[in-house]
Amino acid sequence: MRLTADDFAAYVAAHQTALLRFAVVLCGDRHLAEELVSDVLVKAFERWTDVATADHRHAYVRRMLVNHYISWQRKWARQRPYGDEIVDCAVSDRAHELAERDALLAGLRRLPRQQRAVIVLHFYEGLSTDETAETLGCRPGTVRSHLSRGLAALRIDYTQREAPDA
Amino acid sequence: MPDLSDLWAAFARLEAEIPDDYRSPVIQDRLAGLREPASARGRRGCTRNSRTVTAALSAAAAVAALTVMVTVMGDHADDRTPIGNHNATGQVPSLPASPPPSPVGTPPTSVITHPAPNGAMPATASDLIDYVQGGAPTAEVGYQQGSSQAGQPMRPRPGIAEFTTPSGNIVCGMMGAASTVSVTCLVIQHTYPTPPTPSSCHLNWVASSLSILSGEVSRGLCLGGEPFDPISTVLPYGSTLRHGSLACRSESAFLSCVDLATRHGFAVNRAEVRTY
Repeated sequence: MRLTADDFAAYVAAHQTALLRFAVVLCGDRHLAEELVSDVLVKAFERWTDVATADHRHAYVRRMLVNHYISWQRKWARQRPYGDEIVDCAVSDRAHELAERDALLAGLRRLPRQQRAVIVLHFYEGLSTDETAETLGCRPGTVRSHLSRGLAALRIDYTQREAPDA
Repeated sequence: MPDLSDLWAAFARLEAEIPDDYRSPVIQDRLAGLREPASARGRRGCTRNSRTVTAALSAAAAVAALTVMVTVMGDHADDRTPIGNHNATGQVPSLPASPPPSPVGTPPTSVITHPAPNGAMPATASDLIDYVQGGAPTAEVGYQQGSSQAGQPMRPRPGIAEFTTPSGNIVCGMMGAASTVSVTCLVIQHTYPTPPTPSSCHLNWVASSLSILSGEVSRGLCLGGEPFDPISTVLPYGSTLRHGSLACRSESAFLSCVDLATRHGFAVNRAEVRTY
């Protein structure tokens, strides 16, 4: 029978990059992303029997990561507010587009953690509102509310929104 | 006013902070030393001692590095004619009709200080060690693939050495350093019995493979994707390639690998596999 460590290692080798990318999009900080992913992988290893038998083990680990981010961020935010990292830059005409994206990144960092998690799960991971709700353990209505408020906070043109749930 | 394309562009900028081949030293450090829970070992009735994640990661990284294509090649041992190889897309790249030139730094292979005794596999571990060490030393530089960076234990320096036997039937990768050194060989065509697919393996079970991981011999690999990268340098018959404490000798009768530190190893050809 396959050893737990081998199975786990195969998972890490296959999914480490995807998990790190998801984490860095989720939290906006590469170093924090590495901390989050390493924490979650240690937890996942401790309960690998459950993870390995899940229908979608990557979804299981991703859910662990999101939940860890939300709770971890709560502690982290007390020490290091996100907003302090943002530096306003003079914007030239040539750099207008990049500046707008910088502003968007800054806006993402300022979002409440659950709103950001919803936006990342929905628009980055491509989950439906139901799947996002299942991942976060909340109701689909709550997800829709977070989406609406998050997009409004980012001043994203909501009229262009596609309908991935359809 | 930004729109969704700007949001996706922002995601892409964040995502780009993690290169495709990035292996986080933070994660590696955190996972180092993790051991399987005793309960998991007990349930399986596993006879092996607790297995560290570090060792498994080394093996998994090795497999990931080699998991590029599936090859279906000719027989090892007495058949030097490659049948052909097939990559994952079904294409059949051509193989050289004759062995390619010796890699850079490879000494002449005519000097074989310990020839195979009538094709018989070594009887004991000591015989195996003497036999493998008796092959013509071959410089590893000609077999190294890619590069590596300090602080990345999953792709440790000096990188991965890969080789193919002249028949094309066995492809091996030697990797790692010190305690994480390992070798994994895939035998393409074989008639020997192979271990059954473990119930815990939900990926691709490569039953014919042989490995020396953490100094021990193991058979079969559970991995995602398809093995192996066939674009590796031929290790001429009679040659011995060293990588850390590992050594592999290519002969027409069989391929043999041994960990000189632990004295564990294997010998394999199409019809037979023997472990030590």
